[in-house]
Amino acid sequence: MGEMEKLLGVLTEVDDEIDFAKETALVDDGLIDSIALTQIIAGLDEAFGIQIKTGDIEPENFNNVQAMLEFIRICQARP
Amino acid sequence: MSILSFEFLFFTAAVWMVYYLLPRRRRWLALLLGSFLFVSCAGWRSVVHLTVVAWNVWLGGLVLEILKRKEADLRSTEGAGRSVKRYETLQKIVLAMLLTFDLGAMAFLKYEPAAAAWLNDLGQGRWSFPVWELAAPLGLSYFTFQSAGWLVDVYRGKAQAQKNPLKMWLFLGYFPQMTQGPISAWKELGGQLFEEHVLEPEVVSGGFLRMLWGYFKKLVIADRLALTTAVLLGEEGLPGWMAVGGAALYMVRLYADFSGGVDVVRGISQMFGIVLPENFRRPFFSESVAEYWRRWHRTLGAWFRSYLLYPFTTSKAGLALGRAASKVFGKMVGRLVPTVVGTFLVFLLIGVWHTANWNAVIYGAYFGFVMAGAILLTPLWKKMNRTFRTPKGGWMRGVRVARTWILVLIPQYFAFTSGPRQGFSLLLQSFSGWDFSGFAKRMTGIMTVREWVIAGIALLVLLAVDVLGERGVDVCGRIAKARVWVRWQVLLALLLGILVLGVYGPEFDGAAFLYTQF
Repeated sequence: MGEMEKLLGVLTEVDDEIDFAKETALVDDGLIDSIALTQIIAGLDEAFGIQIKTGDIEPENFNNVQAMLEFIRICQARP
Repeated sequence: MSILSFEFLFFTAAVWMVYYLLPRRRRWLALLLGSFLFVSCAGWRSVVHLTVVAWNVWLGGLVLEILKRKEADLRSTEGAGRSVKRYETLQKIVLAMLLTFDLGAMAFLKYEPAAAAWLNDLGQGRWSFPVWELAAPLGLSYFTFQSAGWLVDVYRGKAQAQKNPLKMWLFLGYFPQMTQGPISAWKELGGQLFEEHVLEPEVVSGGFLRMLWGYFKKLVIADRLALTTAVLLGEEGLPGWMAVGGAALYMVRLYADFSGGVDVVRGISQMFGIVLPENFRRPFFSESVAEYWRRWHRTLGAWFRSYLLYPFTTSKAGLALGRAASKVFGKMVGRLVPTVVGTFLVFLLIGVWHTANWNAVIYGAYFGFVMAGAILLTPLWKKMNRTFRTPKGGWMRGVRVARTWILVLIPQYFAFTSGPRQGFSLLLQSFSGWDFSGFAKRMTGIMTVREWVIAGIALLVLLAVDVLGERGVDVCGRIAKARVWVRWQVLLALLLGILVLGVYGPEFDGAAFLYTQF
């Protein structure tokens, strides 16, 4: 399973009414709030085994799937 | 110096003139001097406290940055895993010490008297703790939160340590936001303070207009409605409609008071070319309590989210709690558990942040309970909305807004009363004795018909501006860009409105802002 499918799996588990692949400003448009964000982070932690630091929780890291994938890669590269 | 006094206006005008007379590179020095004078007016205690905090945070920031650099250097060398860990731990210790000192000083000043009195009461004379009723420094919680946030930002690598301690001082003591916030993050304010601002007439007049609008909200609406709250507290056995109406008017008054004050602050800041973060986004149009808290006192909410809630929910302990709960309740609900726990605690703290009394605990716990409940019920709501195909907009929006009003109205009973007993008794009273027979007499007993009419018209103006705001029209900005004769017309009307219709205290110094005391 590709990274993208894995990510979309995590996201739809949190909210299946949002078309995550299409949206570009998930946080800025208020589609995902702090509650959904925490669920997403818990999901990413499980699915990708990445450790997210609190400083990482910024809108620009979660506004769309591309940004999230990029962010996951950064986390994976981190020692 | 109250920001409602004439001295304050003269003071601001003087700072403003010096600011734009100085060469661009040096303009921040005018703000520094002005802020120093402003804080000095509140007494030496304020100056000392702020200076100690600024000094600590400045030094702490530098230490954190040195440790960070060491850590980064070590990372690039092979086999330094253990030393890297040591530097990480060291940073955590330094940060913890700094935060303890910073927040501890605030907690001590705010809660020592109440805690000591409570303990002494409990001991019934068996022990006696000294009660230190020290006057709180000006803007204590605003600059404390701001400094703590900044430290965490440096720790997270989101802000740079400052070489110049005076710049740190100005960031924390910037005079417009000393009286009632907003609480700004470094990325929102830090850069702007030291940028070279050019005098732009449109920006300045927009700021001036926003300031006037703030004074209008405060002096014409909030201070006039103060009488309606006084009645609630002064008389027993009021009819139910008066209790409910009074509480609702208190809620509106608090909005006009606090958001008006912040408009004054943001307007003045804008005249210096510095845009402060928005603290209110028309909270009474919210469709849920969660949305209400995203629109009401936004910078406080953002602070708690960023520096308390997220660190807790995404910590190892928070994630472990979520996993454990998932095994019991399933993934959907289980993952919500850390947020539920965190949210409840955050609201309890927000309540107690207001004052150290049981009413504040009830206020905070109430919101914590409602929010936590709402989070847990989210999956259920979604399912219900899907089954019944509830429309998103239209009349359902009205129902949701009304529901938010009711849910937000209840805790207000504990915001304006002095003890839980009084709060509960007024709340109970709201459900009984809905007798309208003495309506006219009751109403004119609070204030004259003329006063009610003025309040009503002023509230309609506020409503109109906020409705436009909801549609994305920034009225102040729009008027500032309008033709000269429109702009001046509005400016003069507003000024005249404030002067003629404003409610002024006997000393010609409006009633203090409700949120200055924090």
